[in-house]
Amino acid sequence: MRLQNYIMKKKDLVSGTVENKTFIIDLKKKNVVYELNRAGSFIWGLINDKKSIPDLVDGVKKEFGIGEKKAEADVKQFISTLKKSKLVISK
Amino acid sequence: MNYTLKIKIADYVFQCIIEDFNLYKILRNKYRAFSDKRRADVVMHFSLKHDNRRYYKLKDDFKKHKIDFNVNSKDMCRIIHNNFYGFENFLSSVIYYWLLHKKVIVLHASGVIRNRKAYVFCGKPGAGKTTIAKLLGSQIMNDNEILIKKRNSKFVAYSSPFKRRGIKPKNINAPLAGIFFLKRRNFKKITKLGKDQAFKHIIINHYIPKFSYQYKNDVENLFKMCIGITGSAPCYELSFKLDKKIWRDINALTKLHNEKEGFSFRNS
Repeated sequence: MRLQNYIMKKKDLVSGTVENKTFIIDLKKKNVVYELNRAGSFIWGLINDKKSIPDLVDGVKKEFGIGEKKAEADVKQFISTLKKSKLVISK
Repeated sequence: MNYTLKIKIADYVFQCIIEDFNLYKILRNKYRAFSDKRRADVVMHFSLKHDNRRYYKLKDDFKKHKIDFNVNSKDMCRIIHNNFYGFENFLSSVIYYWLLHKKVIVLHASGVIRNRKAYVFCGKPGAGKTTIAKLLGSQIMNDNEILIKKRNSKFVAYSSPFKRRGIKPKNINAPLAGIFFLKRRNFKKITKLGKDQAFKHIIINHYIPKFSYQYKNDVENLFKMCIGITGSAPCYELSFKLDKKIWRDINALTKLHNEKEGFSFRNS
């Protein structure tokens, strides 16, 4: 995964946040609801605009007060999970 | 010749114009409890395609009501050997789709009214929705599908005329007292769900008509409604053993919860 790549949400998704958890429905996949925990919801909220991985890492560092390496590893892992589920695309 | 039938569902009147007298007769008898004479909110025209098989197709009248509804060959309904259920599935899908547009959601649930409050029991097939509705013995709304709509800033449960399984539904509604997600177990336990868990359960148990996936706004409406319900009605996970003491258990268990959490959940 290139760090400079922009991460964007896929179209045709509907998401809602309830008590720090985000639920996502992909309109093209019926009967599937994705659930994100607090950290995932925070990152998902950041991806609302076009964001690169370093932008997301900065945001996570500030929000959760963790080190650069840990934040980067977590963000990369999370983004790759989102990509596998086809919820985001990178350009 | 066309035959007209008006049915009222969740305060909206649907007018069905049907060319086939046999179909009209079946619908009239089946939805007698839901018939209404008010001015229709939606007019649906079902035409019969004449060939060896019987196909029903929804005509474009639906579009006049400002819903971009695409009718293609897949949306036609075929009735084989007078099997009415194919047509009912089609009709309910169209109506539920329109209702979702009007912010009315459909839960795969049974519902009963007690003390002018609606208790809704959701669950997977076989979880005990029909059984619990029969055991509770109060006014049964429907044992398979319940509609929820916001009326005067309160969520109200309405009965649906469709997909009943042995219990004749009544055209009744009442403010929502609580939603119970059923789990059949050998013990009795009630757990109050947090808003996030309740939201997840409602989404899972919601019936989304296939047409809705074409339109993002409708699914956004669904999310907003679900968030609203979780904020205003208490949701519980109910593990239960089937016996006739079920009302007593529900009352005792919810009361215990309310005392603990200071939540007002009125029932007797």
